Amino acid sequence: MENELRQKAKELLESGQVKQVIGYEDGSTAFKSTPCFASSPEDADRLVWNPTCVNNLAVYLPSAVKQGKVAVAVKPCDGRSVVELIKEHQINRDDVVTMVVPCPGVLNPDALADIDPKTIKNIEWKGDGISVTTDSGEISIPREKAFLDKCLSCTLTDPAVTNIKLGDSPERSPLKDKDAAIAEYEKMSVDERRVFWAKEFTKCIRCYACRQACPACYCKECFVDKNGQVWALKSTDPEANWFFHMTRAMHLAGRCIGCGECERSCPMGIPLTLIGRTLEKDVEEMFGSGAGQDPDALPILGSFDLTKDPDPCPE
Amino acid sequence: MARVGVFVCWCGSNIAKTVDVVKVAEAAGKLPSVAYSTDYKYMCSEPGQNLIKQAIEEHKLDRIVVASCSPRLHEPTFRRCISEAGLNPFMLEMANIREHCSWVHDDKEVASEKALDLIAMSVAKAVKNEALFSQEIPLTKKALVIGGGVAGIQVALDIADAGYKVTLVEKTPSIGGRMAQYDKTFPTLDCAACILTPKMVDAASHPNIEIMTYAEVEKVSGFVGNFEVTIRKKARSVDMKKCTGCGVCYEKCPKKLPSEFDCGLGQRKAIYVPFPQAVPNVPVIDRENCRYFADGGKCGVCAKICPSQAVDYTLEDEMITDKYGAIVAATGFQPWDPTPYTNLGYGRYPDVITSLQFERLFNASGPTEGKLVRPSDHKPPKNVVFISCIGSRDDEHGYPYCSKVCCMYNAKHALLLKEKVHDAQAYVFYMDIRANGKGYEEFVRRTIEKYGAIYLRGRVSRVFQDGEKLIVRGVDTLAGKPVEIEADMVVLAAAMEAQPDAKDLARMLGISTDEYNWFSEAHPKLKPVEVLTAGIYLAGACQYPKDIPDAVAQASGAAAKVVGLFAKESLQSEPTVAEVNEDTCVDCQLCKEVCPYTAIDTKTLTDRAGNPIRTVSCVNEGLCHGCGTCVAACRSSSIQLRGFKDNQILSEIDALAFAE
Amino acid sequence: MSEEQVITKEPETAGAPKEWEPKIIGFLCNWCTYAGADLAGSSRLKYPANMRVVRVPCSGRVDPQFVLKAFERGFDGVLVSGCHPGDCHYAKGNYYARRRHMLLQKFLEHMGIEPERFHFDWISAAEGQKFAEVVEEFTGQVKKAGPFKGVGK
Repeated sequence: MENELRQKAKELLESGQVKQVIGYEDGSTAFKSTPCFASSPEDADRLVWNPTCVNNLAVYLPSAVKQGKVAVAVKPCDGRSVVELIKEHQINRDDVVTMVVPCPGVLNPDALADIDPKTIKNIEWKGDGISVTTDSGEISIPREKAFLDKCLSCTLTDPAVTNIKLGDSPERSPLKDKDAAIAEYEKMSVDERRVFWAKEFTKCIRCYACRQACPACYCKECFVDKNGQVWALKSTDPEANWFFHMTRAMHLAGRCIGCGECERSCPMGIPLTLIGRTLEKDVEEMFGSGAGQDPDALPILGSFDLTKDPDPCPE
Repeated sequence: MARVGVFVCWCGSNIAKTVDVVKVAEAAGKLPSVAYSTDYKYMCSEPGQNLIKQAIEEHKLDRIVVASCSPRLHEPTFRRCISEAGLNPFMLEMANIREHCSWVHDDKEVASEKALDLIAMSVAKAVKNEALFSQEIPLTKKALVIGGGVAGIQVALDIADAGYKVTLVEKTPSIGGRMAQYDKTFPTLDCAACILTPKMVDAASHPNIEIMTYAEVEKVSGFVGNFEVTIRKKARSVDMKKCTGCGVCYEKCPKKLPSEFDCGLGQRKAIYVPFPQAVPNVPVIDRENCRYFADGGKCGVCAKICPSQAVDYTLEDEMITDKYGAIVAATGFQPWDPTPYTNLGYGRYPDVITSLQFERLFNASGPTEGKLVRPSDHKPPKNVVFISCIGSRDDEHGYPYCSKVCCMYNAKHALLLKEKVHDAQAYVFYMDIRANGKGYEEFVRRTIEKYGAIYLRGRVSRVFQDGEKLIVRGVDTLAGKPVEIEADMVVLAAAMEAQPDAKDLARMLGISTDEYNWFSEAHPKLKPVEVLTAGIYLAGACQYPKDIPDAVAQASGAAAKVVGLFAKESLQSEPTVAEVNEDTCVDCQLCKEVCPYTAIDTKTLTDRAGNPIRTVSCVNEGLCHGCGTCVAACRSSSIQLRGFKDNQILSEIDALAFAE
Repeated sequence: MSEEQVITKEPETAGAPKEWEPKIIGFLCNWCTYAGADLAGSSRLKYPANMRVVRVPCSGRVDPQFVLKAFERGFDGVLVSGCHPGDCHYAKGNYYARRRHMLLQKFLEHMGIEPERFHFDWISAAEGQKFAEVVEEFTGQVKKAGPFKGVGK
């Protein structure tokens, strides 16, 4: 698969069809790969595809297409971000070549908790889960432990913007219900939730990693960065933090594809995907469609249904 | 540093009775940025206004808050007042301490506290107010009317009579529209041609009207006062200047085709005028069916025979672009095709016809020269069954709406039948008789009582041929029993539906349409001839089924709107419109998506050499109505509504949040 | 800010027991609900005095962020109201408002703000009576929900 990816990338670069290929390459440690920007056929040899390729690379597209046509390696989930970016006019469909990689699931860093990171040599998919090669031999980790939560409930097929399909989609059935995590959360009373989030947002240091990692947060100037105190205080008062996260959530309503990059990048461990998923569930229930499916669909909060939308005074 | 003046009005005792105006004015004087505060019995009176003007000068006030009645009442008054004192009128805010306070509360302490809060909010907003100016928008005093039916003709005549230029564009080769196809009109039974053709001629000879037939609108851009419209004049193949309308060409043309004007009951040639009274009386060549065009130039009879050498096969479509200040859509309707009613045999039995076909059959200029006969055997019919609501009020086969005119033309047809064929009998199957117009109910009664038409309240389940007869099976729900009629002819009152290309034109003009593609008016009650796009108006059945008087009345209404617009020297833009911050706009186009007025477009920013840098949204101030829906949609606050900017509203929230 | 409020709102601590009154902000569209409120006034209908009104051109102008800001600032209740479907002065603004605020209401509940504290409604220029009723009902509802404890703790 990795060879196929490199081969395709090489072809695209050699023929001049694209200016660069965005994929993954080995990072400084074996348990973490890093984004790779390949602009020559030689660069393409560095591309890898393994369970550590976690990042949603769509985040780079709006700026990358300015240099010319781009090919990007996307997992089926990340492909949804590409759909959204096209839908929201941030990239032209013709400026991007999606190379959809077959994805059995990507690494949950917790899976390696019992392994000395210095001893890890290689991580690859094996059987249902992953196999970690260490100095002292090979360790198999089963699927339910190996992969991120979102992967365990994943039922996604090829995104609507697939150009090149690499390998065969792996056969898999979800292990978990998509909403298992929020079902637990929803057991809290309304006031318990208020207290829960007040505590969580107190942790926030306003590093904005969540925003920077998010492919849907492409604004030139975020509302929170506006000069003067237009919307939000830049301080880390719990109330100001609340306003920031709540507003960011509303800005993502109907657009969040649930890649989880916000939560993964949060240094304080704030469970941000919980917000995204709760809101997306509401959007799907109220307006009948979700993010990242159809590049020609109208934006959820930029459209309405005269008769079907929930109404405050239903007839 | 802003210097706000607060003026608290007593409104006699209206406010002062429940609000301690003196104390409130005193407390308001201590609010941040307030340089002066006072109270007065009647702020809106002349002395009250003078008091404001004097204070502006004496205390160098640059923003004014008047705490009095609703701004919906006196905002214009106080705006004028402060602008007379040299301030920009938009430096005014009003605190509504009467309708929203003194009139609805009893407790003086509570009401006074609330009044002070409302003033504090207004002061906070006023501090953020900016001077706003309206712009002068030029105005082209020439109107475009799309559709040359009776509504379009009426619009064109009314505007032209007021002294303005009009272009009347008609898709078919002649103006006249549907009305030209009718024989007589209800309820007066005057002949349609007798009242319509003079109007057609008037339009054609009016010095202010330019008629373009066989032409279609291709592209529309711009906004009120400044539309730029491209019209495609289809190749007529006949030189309009040379043709004398003698008609030799279509007499000699060897190619015969079913006539659209006669609803397929008669024939026309490949070169033709649709009907004898056509305006202009210049034929066109139907190139798709003409032998000359099919056989690579072999036929050419018409060109050879034409005494004035007017036939010109080399003519091509012509594109004409012009500027217009207003556009009126009067594109009408089309009769619905009743084929989906398979049980009624339309298309299967030749004597099951539509009402419009029936109309052509007894029209003196129709295919039978006014002799009412059956299409199958050309014998006059005796028993004729008329069936109402074919495709109307019928969600299953057609549309849920009522087509409004069918009850009346059914009555007319039933009456005229009796006049043409004295021993004939009309049967009318109906759901309800909707005869609500001047003289309409009386007309229906006359048809029933004097002309003996038999009205049966019920639906028809089946029509089938039995020898020469058509057997009509239905039910008379009032008598509560099934009915079977041996008919010679069955006439279906087909619904009116929107033109097949209505949606395309709507998109071009920025008109919204309802679920049936009828054009949507700006307000169902109070703006029935306007649409949401300023400078565009509606006339006739393109909006919804209408009869002739309604269509003509609306046409004159639309014309009055256009004339009213043209009576101005120039247009003033509303100052409270949206503006884009190009530095931060990311071109997600959500604002454009939500704008009800298509006032937002995108534009490409370029560097000094003219190279494109990036695309951003831009607001057409002529189209923007200032609703602010775009502002609430924009995630990066890159679009703002003047007069209601984010920081103005946030200041109000904060002023209240931090109020003591 | 919210701390102060809670302290002053404790009825037991006050000498003369003054009932706690909720602080409510309302965002009303100019053409329907604001006019409806005017009509309530000219009809001299009585309703509780807790709500303060921010006038906006259209319910479509009401950014959900205004509602969030109000809760951040510790308001006990927020009302947003505009023209009924089909009546919007700007034809469609209220339909976008409906999507945003119906969603926001659900979202607020998920995030710990009782649905009783946020009300979205249609009130026309002719519905002075309805305006008075809605304000009365909403004020009662917020009162029942008690002082809002804030989003920060």
